[in-house]
Amino acid sequence: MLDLLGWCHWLEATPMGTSIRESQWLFPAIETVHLIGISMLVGSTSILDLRLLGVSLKKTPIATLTAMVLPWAWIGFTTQLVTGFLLFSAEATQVYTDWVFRIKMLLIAAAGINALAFHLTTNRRATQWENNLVMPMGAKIAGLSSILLWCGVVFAGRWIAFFFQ
Amino acid sequence: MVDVIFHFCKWLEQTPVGTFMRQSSWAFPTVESLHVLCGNVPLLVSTSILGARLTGRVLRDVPVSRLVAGLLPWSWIAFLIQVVTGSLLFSSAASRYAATAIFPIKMLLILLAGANALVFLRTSYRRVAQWDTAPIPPLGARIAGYLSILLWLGVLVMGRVLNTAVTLVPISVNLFGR
Repeated sequence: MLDLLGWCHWLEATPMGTSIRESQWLFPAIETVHLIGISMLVGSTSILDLRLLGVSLKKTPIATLTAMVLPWAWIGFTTQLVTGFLLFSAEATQVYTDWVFRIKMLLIAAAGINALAFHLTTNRRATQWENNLVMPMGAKIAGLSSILLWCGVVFAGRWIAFFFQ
Repeated sequence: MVDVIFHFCKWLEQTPVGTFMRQSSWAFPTVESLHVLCGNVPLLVSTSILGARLTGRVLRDVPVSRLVAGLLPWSWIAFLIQVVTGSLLFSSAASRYAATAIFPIKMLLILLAGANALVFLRTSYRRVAQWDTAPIPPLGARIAGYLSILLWLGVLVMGRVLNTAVTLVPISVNLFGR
């Protein structure tokens, strides 16, 4: 039986969780790195999404843009995972039960699924349509969904503490 | 001078906008999210890419003028968004923000970042035709690149520290000691 709430209790009592929670500067410092990670991750995905929407960098082949941008997206995502986990560990039980936090996790999962779905379908034939005047519907949907989902993630992140009891 | 600033801040806080930003439960977090998402992200991304190119370490095969033409509009729009959202956030508790040591530092860093860009555009960039496609730009451009990255990161860090500074007792409370 998976006792996640019990695991959260354990996590926030660890030396790591405790020191982050009790220190005056540690939490803000980790949060600052989390902010920088937002720029790396959302910045990278947005550049790709705008290309898929046909808004900018229209002459750049999608494979080329992906090769340039994806490393930064992965660095950004890893940064967010690590800093996010550290921030989570400080107040695990309160955050875990927060419905805004759960929505944020769902939105992140949805963004990942959206990227995977696009990669497995429309993107397979990218060389056929990337020079079109107007991007195919699949690309535009993927691009717009991605932007909206990541915006949702950032907003949800800001609102996590808002409804704390 | 301090008097003028103090009275302006007090006046700003009491305006309908300032009052709304302070009293509404959802306004501040929403504007703050926009400040991060629509301001921080495009501003940091555009200045970082351009700055990185100017250091001569990455994107060496891309002409500098092409990056400047493509990225500067994004920087400008993002900066405008930061000024608007930042002013709204500031208006909620103007005198408290102004009384911290952090707020003037953040403003100074923004000024320096702007000055750095201006100096670059008026000097090294004037002669860009000569070094546009060179993998490593001239010294002035390289310095401008490193400075840009450092200064804008500094602004982001100061912004986060400001959050903490304003909720604690203002450090220089004597600045507006009444």
